[in-house]
Amino acid sequence: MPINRIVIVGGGLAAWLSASALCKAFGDAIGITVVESSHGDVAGIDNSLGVPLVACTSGPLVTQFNHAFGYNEDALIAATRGGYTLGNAISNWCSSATVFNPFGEVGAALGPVNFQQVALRLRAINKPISLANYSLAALCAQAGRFAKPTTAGSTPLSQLEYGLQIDIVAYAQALKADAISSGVSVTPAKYKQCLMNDAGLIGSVITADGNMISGDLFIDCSGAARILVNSITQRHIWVDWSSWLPCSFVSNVVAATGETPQPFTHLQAGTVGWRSNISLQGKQCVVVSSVQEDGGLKFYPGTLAAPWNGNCVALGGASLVVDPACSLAFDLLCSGVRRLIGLIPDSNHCEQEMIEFNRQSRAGAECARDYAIAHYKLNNRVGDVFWDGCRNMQVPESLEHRIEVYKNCGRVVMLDGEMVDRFNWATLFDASGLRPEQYDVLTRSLPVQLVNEHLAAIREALLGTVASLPSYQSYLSHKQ
Amino acid sequence: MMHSNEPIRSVVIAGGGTAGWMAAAAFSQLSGNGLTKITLVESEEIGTVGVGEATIPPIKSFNGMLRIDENDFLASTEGTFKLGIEFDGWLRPGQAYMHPFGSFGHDINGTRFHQFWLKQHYQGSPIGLGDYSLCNVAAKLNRFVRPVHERDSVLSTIDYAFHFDAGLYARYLRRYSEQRGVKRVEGKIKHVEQREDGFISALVLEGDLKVSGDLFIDCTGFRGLLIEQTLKTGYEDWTQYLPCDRAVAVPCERVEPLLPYTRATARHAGWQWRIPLQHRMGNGHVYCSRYISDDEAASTLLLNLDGKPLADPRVIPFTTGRRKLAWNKNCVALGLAAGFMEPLESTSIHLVQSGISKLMALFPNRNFTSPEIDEYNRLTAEQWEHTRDFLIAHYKLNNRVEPFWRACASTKVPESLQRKLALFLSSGRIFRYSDELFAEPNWTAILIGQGCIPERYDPLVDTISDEDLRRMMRSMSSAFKNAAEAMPLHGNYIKQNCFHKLPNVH
Repeated sequence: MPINRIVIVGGGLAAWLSASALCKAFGDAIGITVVESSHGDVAGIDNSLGVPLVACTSGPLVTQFNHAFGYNEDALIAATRGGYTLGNAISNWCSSATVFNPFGEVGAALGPVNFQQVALRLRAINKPISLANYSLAALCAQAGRFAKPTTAGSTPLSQLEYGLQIDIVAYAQALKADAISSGVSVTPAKYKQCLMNDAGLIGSVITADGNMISGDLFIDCSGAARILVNSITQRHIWVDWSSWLPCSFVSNVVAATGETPQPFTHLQAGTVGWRSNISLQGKQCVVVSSVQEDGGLKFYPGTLAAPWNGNCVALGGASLVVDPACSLAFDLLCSGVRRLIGLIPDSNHCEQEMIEFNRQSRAGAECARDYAIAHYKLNNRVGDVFWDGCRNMQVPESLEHRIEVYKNCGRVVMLDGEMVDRFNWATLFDASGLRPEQYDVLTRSLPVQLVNEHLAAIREALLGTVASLPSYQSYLSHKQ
Repeated sequence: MMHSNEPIRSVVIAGGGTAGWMAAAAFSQLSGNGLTKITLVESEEIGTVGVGEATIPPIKSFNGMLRIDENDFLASTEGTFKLGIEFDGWLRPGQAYMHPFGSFGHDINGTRFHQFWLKQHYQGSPIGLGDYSLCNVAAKLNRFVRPVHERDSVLSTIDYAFHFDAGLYARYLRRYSEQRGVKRVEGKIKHVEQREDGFISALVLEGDLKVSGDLFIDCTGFRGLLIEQTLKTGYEDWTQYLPCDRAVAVPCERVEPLLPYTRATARHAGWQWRIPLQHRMGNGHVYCSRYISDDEAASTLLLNLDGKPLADPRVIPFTTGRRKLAWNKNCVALGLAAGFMEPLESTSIHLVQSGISKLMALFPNRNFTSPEIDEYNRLTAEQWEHTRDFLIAHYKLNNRVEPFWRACASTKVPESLQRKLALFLSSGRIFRYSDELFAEPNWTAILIGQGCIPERYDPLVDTISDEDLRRMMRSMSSAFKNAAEAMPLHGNYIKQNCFHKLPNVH
């Protein structure tokens, strides 16, 4: 029997993104109800990613998601006064200079030699080169220009990738309006309990005001509260990541600004944590994550070992919590929703879908975890107690292996479930100052002159493209 | 012994044959750096395994990396084009299906095409999945043309590989390699010299010529002279999953028309391959010696040839499995030295190619640090296991009655495959694991072909109305049919582009 009704418990970005995407995918075939259950919500703060946040930044997975489900992204960004991002500028982290970790392709291979190796050829003769200087995203960010990638041909612009910077509450509200107008029903009431059926699955949800909402599949979007997950089983396993992701307090500062927004997020390492500057239209949101309380709100980095249990699926912060500084929480939410839509089960049989969902979720979670931990591990703030500790910490074996392989031969290890592409890993390693100890034999045979010509040609093509693009400000105002 | 972070000065390849010369050709590019010497040691006295060889599409990128002209290569190796593999009698006698290259139909709104086909199938349509693959339709008409690279053209959905004479391919690559500075040393390896730490330091040949090197590539075939006999690396035996342990091979005369696909026909205790080359056909019978004798296997083969046999049948024993470490110390095993899987999906040459490209990407220095070696072995193990799972699926899902086939059907399969099959059976969903060689369309072709029809289709399919669906399905199949009928016959295409002129006949 096909599934008829999906009930989402929770609210915020996780709930409304899930509801609107499910609705776009299935139309009238599946009825969707959101039990919008607030738990100590504070105005302007979203809890559904497991960390209390006013704003967040994302990678390209979010915009790919929007594209796949046919969202009018420009309209969403205009209506919610959000913005786009081409990557992260990172300061006070590895060197005195600010480094940039862009999205999308970097450089171009020279025959059989990949671009990282080409760069190593120059470094071997002591010519400094930064990978990011050969990234269209980085150059656009630097020049304050922006456009969406073209779909035609293989121009540099067709390779551009970007993420979003959003006011989470506004964005969630816009998705909510979209979902409701497409037929999603909403019950604004406090969740009380769920009723299990004979098969040991959730049959319905009871609200505090006595309503009973029944369904075939239940989604927990209540963030770290995990209200459904916690009420169905005592046996769910929480995998704690706090020994690798030391920050566990967050505070949000919002300041109105008349300044031109920037098409990137600025991440600054501080004495005991991070500040990320998320640049929106008309305001700057600063999200501080820290090991110290300092008036911040607590969060717990980690993941559910199995986010799908019976007929209950956890999405967003209910499923996993990562440090806001590493900026993958929104991407993880989108990939979870997309995974669920690709694996929508039958009402009686969902065992195989559940196993596959959990396998993929676990793989994705671990890749995101490694990416976040790398931001701590690879710092070069020598002499700061906190950062020295991070640099010397024992990291998960998979991350250790990634770093070692890169350090030895400049090759990026890609694992099942990767959340960022190999360019992003490479530019992160490169920006951190990690340098491969050797370059490959193929590369050794490249004449330096050929390398120089190749690099010059790339720069010319990229700079030409940058010059042809509108300023970020004018891109935004034309989409109003 | 500590070695500094110095580049490899010398690569020594032990063994010629397809694997050895593929490695030599690829590594000949390294000699451009003026630092690295490539030497290949082989003996004319030692035969090589492999005659008619079938490949899969990535071979094109290997040849492309070497900048080999495709027509020249085909003309030199008796080469023909391949659009897929026909599996005859694998589900039950008399039933056949094609595993075509390329994809099926077009995905709609991100939902896989085969899900739409499934719905149509449930509604009683007799049209097979293969009618929605251009490679499949063209193969059945014995037609071929290379793809065009225009996104909207139906001809862009063609993908292809080759059939060729592996001996001629090795000879072709030898010429290529020697022109690019690879040194060939003739001689039998008598002894392998090791350093105190177990690393290989030199090959000692009969006549006491010593070939020393920093990195050794073992292409000595099944016996694994370096990786196993010297380094005692160990072998993981997969016979419990893939019970065939012998093959008997014979070439025969070719008959018309020239087919653009490989055929794999199930026999009562194994299966028979047929590989069309320009002037003859390669044939072989892979079987399980517990169920059939060598003589019976050979006579089954001889009774089922399309043309007159051109040689005596030759028996090749094997043990399916893989070397526990494809890279051990300073030795990397390629080809049969790295392991063996039956040629059911034509993966042998691909596994060599992919071993070479991984080694290029992770090329060591003289200090041979472990992260590269670990990464190479991780990727290799993953790839071998994925390929193994794919092969097992062919055997597992049969409806034949012979004892061999019943035993295959009741085999306990690896957990990774079990999960894949269960998910597909539930709702036709299939996910590619990272770096997996066989993608969704490949798995779909085999699983549907082997009668693994999912219990239901993806509910996303119902978001398209029945009428729209019928219209789209009709227009796709007729576009493929029209395009295929307009292609030249495979035999004519070869004559016009890459014909192999036979030397004056014996």
